[in-house]
Amino acid sequence: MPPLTQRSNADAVARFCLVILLALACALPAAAQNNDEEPGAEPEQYAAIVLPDNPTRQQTQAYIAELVKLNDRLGELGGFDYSKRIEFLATYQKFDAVPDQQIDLLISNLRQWYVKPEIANSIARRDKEVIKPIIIAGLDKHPANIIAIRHFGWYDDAKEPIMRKLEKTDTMKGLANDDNWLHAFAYAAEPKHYAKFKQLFVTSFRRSQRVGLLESMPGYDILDTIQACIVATEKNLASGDPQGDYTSQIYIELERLWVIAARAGDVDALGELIDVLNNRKPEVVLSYFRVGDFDMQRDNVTQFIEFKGSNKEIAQWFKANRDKLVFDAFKNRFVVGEAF
Amino acid sequence: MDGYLKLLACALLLLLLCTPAVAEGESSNEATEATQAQPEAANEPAPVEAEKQPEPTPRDRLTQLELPDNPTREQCAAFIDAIRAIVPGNPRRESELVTKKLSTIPVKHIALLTQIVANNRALISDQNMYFCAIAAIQTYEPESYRKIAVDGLPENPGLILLIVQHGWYQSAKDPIRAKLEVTDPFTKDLPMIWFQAFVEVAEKQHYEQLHQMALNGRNLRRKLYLLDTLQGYDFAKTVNACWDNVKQIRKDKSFRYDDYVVMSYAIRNGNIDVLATVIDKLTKPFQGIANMNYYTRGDTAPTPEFLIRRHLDFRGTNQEIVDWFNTNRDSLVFDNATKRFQLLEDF
Repeated sequence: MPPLTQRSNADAVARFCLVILLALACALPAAAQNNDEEPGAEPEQYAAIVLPDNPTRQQTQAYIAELVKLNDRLGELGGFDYSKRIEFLATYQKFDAVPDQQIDLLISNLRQWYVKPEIANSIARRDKEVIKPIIIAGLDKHPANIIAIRHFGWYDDAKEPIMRKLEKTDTMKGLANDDNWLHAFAYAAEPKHYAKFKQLFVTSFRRSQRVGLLESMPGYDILDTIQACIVATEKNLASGDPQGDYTSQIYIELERLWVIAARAGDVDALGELIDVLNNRKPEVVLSYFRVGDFDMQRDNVTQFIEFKGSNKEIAQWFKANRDKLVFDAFKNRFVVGEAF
Repeated sequence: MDGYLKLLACALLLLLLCTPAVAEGESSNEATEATQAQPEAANEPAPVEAEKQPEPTPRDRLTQLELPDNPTREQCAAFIDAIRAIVPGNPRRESELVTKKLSTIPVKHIALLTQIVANNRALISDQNMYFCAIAAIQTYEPESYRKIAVDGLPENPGLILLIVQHGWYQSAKDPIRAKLEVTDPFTKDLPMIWFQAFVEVAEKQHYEQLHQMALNGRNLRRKLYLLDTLQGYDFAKTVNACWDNVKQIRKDKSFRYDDYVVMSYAIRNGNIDVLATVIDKLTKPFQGIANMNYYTRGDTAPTPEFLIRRHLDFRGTNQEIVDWFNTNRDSLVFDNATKRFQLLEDF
């Protein structure tokens, strides 16, 4: 009979799950015990990895890869004891053996999780005046060097290669180390590069959170760029291409961009924010209470107006006064009539 | 490797131990199959009898449940308890029917529904009633409960949800202000939407109370975010006090993310002490803080690098910035319009 067979199958599955759980429960203490023995073997394991004199790039690459591999394995066995790993690495200082001429190999391995702090420290221990020209000269060939340039603040010295990269690049999408490169472009750009920078900024990731970069560029037209970003984001939303943002976050991104545009004096953006406030789903608001947040969408609007009222009253007030609204830079608010 | 071997051995051992049990179970099932086959054939009418008097399903019991005419508050509360007894709060079941039943509660007792939502601060308990209550609240006409929500606020704090949803802060300003005045600034449990309501209706005489609440330290980022744009409020005083707190707590200068948020607010209000601390951080070898860019009005990571770039005109390598700042510190003035520190002669 089918029902009975099903039941016996379910029983077997349940028993199997139980077996797995029990086995895990028995084996976990065993594995933990095992880990305590590991560090004792470490010095020999480290000593076995050596870099020959005057190494070629391939040899250095293999050397670093071996260290990374060892640390990955030890890290996994050691139950992700991150601080212990850093401690061991700091004792042996194995990365100091890499010659200055091949420092780009170290920089490009900075993304490796376990060895990252030690590589950073190894770079920081070197003589800055020696590695600076090497890093800057290698920037064209090894774009990852931009990490070190950002870290030490050598934008001014590396201005030429950075500008070359700016002219060559058409989109930030898919560019490795895009965050670092965008910072470098912003720091080194002069007014004649601003049009190109705008083009790149619009294609970058999480634009709303990088608007501070625009603020730090003297004489930059923030509103123009943000409006271009809004158009691009709306286009992404319509085409279903979230451009690196999660689809659910793209609405938040759009709201943030409107807030930034409103802060720069864009009345239309304020209108959009008031629309959001009045057309949202009620369960969104009620969930704020649940997760301990506040009503961000209300605050997005009230920070820009002096009028006090309910959400609906604000919408009516905005409709009636829209043409008369002027942005008062002193108060950071839209006021009816003449600006201060 | 030994660990894995032991694991495998344990698994095998347990499998061996359990296999007879499984086999036994299967055989016993077969046995019951065989034994049941005969009586079933002989006793045909038994299942028909069972169909005649079925157990009432939750759906039937819910459908039969009705409120009396003009119910009192107690009757409504008992009604909600009865629903919860039939359909447990978690997992979600019969949501549509429960919502329909909940929305038969008269609008004057809407506080009972908001109470369900307000009490549900944990993320998994009472899921069913939580979502059904939210759906039920939406079936009422907003204007029909506006007066009820405002008048009932002192007795039923959960009604603040309705005030927030429609932005009726100005109508409810008296009860909200009354609550603001009696709230202990060092309370451990102040939902952020209550703090937002306080900020919405605060007058000059309440500013000291808000200041104390910000110093309390819980949800600091969100409190500062809200206080930042309160018109006429001395925000600089609050952030400077918060910065003093941070300095006391982090004497070793190992700042956390929240501390950088306080710093970015303080530096934007002209606190040169923060600028000095941030510049001091520049020469430290490894900065753990990067790419954490939430919740500040600056909308960019408040890393030392960025803060300096945003608020200082001087450009150079990290070491040059440190040297320049140490020589020029006393002649720096904060320009509130551009939010930048400038040399006295340029100003």
